[in-house]
Amino acid sequence: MAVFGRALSPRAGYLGLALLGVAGLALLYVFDPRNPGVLPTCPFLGLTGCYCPGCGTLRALHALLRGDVVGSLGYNVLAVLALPFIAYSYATGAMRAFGMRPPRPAFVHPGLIWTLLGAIIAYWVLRNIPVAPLTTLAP
Amino acid sequence: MYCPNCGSQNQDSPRFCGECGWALSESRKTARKYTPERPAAPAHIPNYLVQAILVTIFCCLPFGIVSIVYAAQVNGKLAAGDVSGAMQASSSARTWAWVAFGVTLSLVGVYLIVLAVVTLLGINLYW
Repeated sequence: MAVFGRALSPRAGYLGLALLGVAGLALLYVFDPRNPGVLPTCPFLGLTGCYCPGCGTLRALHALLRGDVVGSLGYNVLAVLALPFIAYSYATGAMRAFGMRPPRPAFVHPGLIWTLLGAIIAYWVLRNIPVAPLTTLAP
Repeated sequence: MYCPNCGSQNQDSPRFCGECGWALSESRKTARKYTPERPAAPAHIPNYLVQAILVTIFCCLPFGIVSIVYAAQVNGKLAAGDVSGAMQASSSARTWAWVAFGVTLSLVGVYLIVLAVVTLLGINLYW
């Protein structure tokens, strides 16, 4: 995974990402994104009034850092479920960049990727429908 | 030279493979170690699925969806044995993930500037 393309060395890229990630998580642990004045409203939510599939991720991460797993799932279940995969992808990419041989990636069936795409779009639509069982998907 | 990690061709002799980021200068040193057990079969072509999903979820723009479609095509073409088609789809998946990321970054930048200007004007109006 060449996150930073050809321009920057992958090692610097992965180290930079790690520093940014740790700094961001530390800030998220200290500051509660629910408090007014911490962050402005997401432009997508502000302009359209709709939740996007990423809405609630910061609140979910904040809850997770504070040990509230159920609460974090309530803010954005998709983002929380994606975390282990993001971590795995980062780890294998970083291993490659530093000259180690990561475990050979399992071949993902293309049908699974199409299903995932459908699931994300469905999640996007469903969490905006204000009907009783679907409101749990809203942040 | 061909990258020993992902099999994609790189122009001249860069330090890192443009497709997978493999450190080519190092792999030259260890090339002897891997050559016998790994012939030049390009088996691993990155599909950038994780990046595509990240930009789709967090950028709220259609470009991320284009990137996921190409990511699916990478694996679909690999399964069908179409290696060059898979490489093209891989490069498109990466391009569209970057487009989504860049456009979002610019829009957020504009949004923050507008927000700052509005806030400053608000303060001036109340002064």
